[in-house]
Amino acid sequence: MINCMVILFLLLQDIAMADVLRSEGKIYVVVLIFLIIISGLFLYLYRLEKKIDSIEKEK
Amino acid sequence: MKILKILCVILLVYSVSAGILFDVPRLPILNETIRVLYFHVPMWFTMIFLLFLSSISAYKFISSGDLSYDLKSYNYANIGVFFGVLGVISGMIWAKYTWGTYWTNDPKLNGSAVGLLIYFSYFVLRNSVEDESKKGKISSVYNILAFSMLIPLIFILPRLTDSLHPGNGGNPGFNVYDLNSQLRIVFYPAVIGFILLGIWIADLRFRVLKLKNEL
Repeated sequence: MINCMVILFLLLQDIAMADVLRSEGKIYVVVLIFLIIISGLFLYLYRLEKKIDSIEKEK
Repeated sequence: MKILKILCVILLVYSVSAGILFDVPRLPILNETIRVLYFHVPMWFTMIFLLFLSSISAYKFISSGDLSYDLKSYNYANIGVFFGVLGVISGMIWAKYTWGTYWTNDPKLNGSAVGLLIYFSYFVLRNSVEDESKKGKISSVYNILAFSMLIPLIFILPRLTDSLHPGNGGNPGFNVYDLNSQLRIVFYPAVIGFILLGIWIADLRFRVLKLKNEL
């Protein structure tokens, strides 16, 4: 009887999980991937700009 | 200049995440692909903006004879056409899933294709002339002509006939019935963000070209 109560308690309890990225059909995962890709592209542009800066200074 | 780059990053990060997450109007056939509006249309805005800058630089070269304006004009045209090609490719994929085919003989589609071909021949013309100042003069004149051809091809002729493409002929554009505030709050930031990105890339490429010329 106590065992049953414990199991019921566990089932009714809201167990916290990392649900944020999984909610609403996992759309947040898509957003995260897009953001990673565009931040990679921006980083590339930034590095390229630094490189051009240094070449311009050498002149 | 730096503030514009930061603004570009912020606007594009915003438009990518809001473009996917925010609510959009529920329309038949389009369904979720209405979100392509946030990325397909800014390509064309960016292209037009860069090609406009290109023709302005071409005009400045003709009136001043300063070769750096010619280089600038060539560079803007290059990046502008790059965005135009991205616009065509994204439009073709969108068309496949909404109109059922990659390409139709629609005035808007053919107009933009002809406009891009005019610019392709600009590069051919430019690279076929050896002499620097002659190259500048011929290609600048052609550049201004190309831009003044592009405007009727993309914006005027398609509006005079029937077209599948929104914004033309008997088919009202998104802004008439459903470019509502829901779409606008993502669409305009995306347009500005992509234009700033285009300017950024063009600036980097211009500096590389200038360094190459100095060698």
